[in-house]
Amino acid sequence: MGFGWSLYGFFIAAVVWLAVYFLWAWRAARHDREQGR
Amino acid sequence: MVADSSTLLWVTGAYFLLVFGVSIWGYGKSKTEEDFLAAGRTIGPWVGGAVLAATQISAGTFVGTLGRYYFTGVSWGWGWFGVWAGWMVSAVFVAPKLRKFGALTVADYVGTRFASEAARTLAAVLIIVCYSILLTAQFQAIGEIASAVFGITPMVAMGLLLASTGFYTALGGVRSSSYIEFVQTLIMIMALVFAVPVVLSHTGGLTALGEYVGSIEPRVTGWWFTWKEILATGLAFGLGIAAAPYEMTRYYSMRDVATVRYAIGVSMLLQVIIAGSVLTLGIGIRGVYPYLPSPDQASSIMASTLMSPLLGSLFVVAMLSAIMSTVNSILLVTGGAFAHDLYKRLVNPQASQSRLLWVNRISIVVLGILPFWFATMKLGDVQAIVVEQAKFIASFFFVPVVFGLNWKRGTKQGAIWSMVVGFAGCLIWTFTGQHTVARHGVDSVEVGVVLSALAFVIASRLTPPTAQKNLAIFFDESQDLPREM
Repeated sequence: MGFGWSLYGFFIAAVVWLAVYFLWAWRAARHDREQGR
Repeated sequence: MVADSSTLLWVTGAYFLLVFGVSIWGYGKSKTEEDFLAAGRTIGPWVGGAVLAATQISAGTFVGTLGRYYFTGVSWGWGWFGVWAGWMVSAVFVAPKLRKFGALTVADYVGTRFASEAARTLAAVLIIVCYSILLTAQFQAIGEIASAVFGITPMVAMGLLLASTGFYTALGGVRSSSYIEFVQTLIMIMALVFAVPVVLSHTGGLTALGEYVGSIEPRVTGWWFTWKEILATGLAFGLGIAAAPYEMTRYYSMRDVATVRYAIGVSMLLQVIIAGSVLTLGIGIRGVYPYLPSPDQASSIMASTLMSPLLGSLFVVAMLSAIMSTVNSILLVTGGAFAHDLYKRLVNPQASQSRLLWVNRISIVVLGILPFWFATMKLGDVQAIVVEQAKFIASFFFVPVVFGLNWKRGTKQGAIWSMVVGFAGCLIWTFTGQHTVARHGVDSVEVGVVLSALAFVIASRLTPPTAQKNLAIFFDESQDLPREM
């Protein structure tokens, strides 16, 4: 019995997590620039 | 531990030369208290992200956490999502507002937001107490690691750690510390990432490793912990991270709000690399040495038997970096809390910038010596002290920070009661023997935070609101934060 979702799911979830976070940070920075802050 | 001691000495020597060189450069750049405690607000997202990661990663990650993966396997790794959830809470609800405020210490925020010198003083004192205990654990850890690695007595190792870290922290403050932590993070990442293929080459690759360790103990490749246990652990870590003073003070040193958000992202990216590497290494060593007498020996066995002298030495320096970066960040917070929040406010409000700089430096040294003395008495197990103090910090500080920055109605009485009740709740739950998740299902940090929140809301509702001029700094609608997520 080898590795399953507990290992591969960890890495996939981490990559998705980071992608969502950076998208939010980028949109927040763009929003700030548009508001002239 | 590392067979080739001359390589270890050369690598360690080069590391210390670099650290001291950067701190001397930082000394020349620190002319004011703002330079010393906030690096003149010049830190960018990559250095800032590395600083946040280095502060969080400690020697425990290399020894205790790696050993935990060795013994229990993959599922412990899911607890990291609790840590990263804490970072998310900080990025959305805490960090941008703190950076906009642009003060020097965490107690500065408490004093200004709640218009209360009493709340500021209480926050500063509780931070100094909890972080001095955390420092005690770090000194004990270096004593144990150094006696195993270098063969020197714990007392000498602790003395060397205090002298070297105290020296570069007191000399250059946050500016040089930030660049040193950037280097330390690079060293940690390199050591871990380079070690993964070396260990996997001894196991016949990832698939073969999974099949072998799964045949010894199926839960190592599957789910050792239930989702409830993972959630409880993640919650405890996340609550601690969302309002950790040694991370919050670093937001002040960054260029602007956008930099703070990106730095938190960079920090999580680096943590994913570190977490994934430590996880793979822990299970990999289980595949090579399945029956070690103690899981905590996994990292030292790996460095001494599976790695080349150069990589083994790099791994040892990475462990040194992890512990030094944590000690350095704690000293900056406790020194700043004493000099800026107690000395300047209560003892000498007219103190010059030059005098404040020196009080900061002397405070760092003195507040480093006290935990050193406690560490010589070995008050408890290192990992237990680290975890318990994090629960206390979250119990008295999560609510005044996260609620205080996002609920206008919070008052100084609410802040003071939430800190006192949260701290007392965590203390009572811990010392009445009801602190383990397994026994009652409720952890002391959850008790502390819930009681703290109740005290904050009830006391705030019963007392007059904070003055508008104080609220405007944090809730000014014209400077309101973006809400999209």
